[in-house]
Amino acid sequence: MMMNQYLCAARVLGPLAVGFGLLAAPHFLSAEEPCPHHDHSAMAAAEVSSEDSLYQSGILWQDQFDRTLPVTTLAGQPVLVTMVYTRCATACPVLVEDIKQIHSAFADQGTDAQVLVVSLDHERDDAAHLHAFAERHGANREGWHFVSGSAADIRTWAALLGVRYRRTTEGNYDHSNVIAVLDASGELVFRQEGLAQGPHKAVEALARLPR
Amino acid sequence: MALRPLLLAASLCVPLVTGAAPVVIPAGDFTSPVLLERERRTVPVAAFKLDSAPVSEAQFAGFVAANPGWQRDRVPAIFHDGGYLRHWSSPSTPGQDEDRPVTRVSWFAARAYCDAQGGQLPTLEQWEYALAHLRARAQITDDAYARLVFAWYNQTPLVERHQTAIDTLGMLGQVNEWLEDYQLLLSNGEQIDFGGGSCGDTARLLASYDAAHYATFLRYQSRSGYTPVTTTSTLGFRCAYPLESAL
Repeated sequence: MMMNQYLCAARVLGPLAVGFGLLAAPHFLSAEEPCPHHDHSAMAAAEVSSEDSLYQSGILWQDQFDRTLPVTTLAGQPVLVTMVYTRCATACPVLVEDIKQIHSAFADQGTDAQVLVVSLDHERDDAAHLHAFAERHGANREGWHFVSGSAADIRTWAALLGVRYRRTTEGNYDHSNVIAVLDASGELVFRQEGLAQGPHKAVEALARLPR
Repeated sequence: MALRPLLLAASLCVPLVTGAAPVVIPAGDFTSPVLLERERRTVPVAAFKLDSAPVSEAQFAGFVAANPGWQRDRVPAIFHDGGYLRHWSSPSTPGQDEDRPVTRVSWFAARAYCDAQGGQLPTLEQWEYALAHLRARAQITDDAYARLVFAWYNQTPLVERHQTAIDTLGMLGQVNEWLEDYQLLLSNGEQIDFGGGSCGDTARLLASYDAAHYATFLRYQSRSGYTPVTTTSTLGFRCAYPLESAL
């Protein structure tokens, strides 16, 4: 079922992906249409247990191995999240190193978190750029997802995380430096702004989660 | 979408402009009235289509009927602040005046609506460019424009609002409008801040020190202060479409 849904949605999205992502079911699709609606709330609500879950967004990411990653498949364990763009030379590498530090601190506590690094640059950051970026950080590992998506889906995800960003005239991205922790259901349970703050506060947030 | 008659609301002398078909906003140059970067930039804006009025309560009711997941009793909590369509008499029935611009819709809901119409929320650049274009076309002076903007913020009725509301497709004088990228992120070289509302920012961000620029900045700043889940009675939206769309 899941497989059918996202293959189908990917087919519909293909030509429309840039700038006009399907945020709600097009009203002209009938209920008999074999392709299920990609309706943010209605469809995702059936799969996602929490009303406050970021997985209600139902976003389909493309990862660094050019695989489709429905965001809902991250449910089940904590996820470390940030947003970067791979051409970024200043803050973004620091954000990824911060995430590695937190990931390793979580591992010390016996938690194997997943990592989701979402690109802000949907025009440039294809699978090859994402893969090379992950490689530079030694992060092409199991459970580490470097992803991109449609402009609209990236905007949705940024809104859910409270990340502000703007493409500059030069084609770079100014953005807030946010690292967040989602719990197993996809609810945001920790969020910090800024660079190189160490893993302590994130670990404290992890400790507060029910085991 | 049929063109609805313009209605005059007796209480505030503001004509209601809602529910009308999109119009083409021609290509042109846009100079940002607010200094979002260190330098003032002029950028080309491609032609696009824009709803000629804010989305009405009736139109939004049609969307909710076709997408029951966006009924107020079914929409997930993460997409609104609790006040989504609170003023409707039922989850599917708008309030008293179906021709008024729909309000109490979150940014998430507004985007879903536009997506269902084959469009998206206008970008900040598109919306502000369209308004500048319409102001120039209708020859609305800077002073008249500034008075209109300030009058909306302090809820002063102005007779001249009537014609200006028509000339500007209801972009002035009805509701504040959601935009795709409404949240400001201001940068000055390596320094980035969020211009969230600090009064000290104001002088630094004005491209020119006159009433019209101050009025525009007020709109940028108040709009930027909303969170994506905000639902208020003064905030609505309209949609933009690619030029080649069939609408």
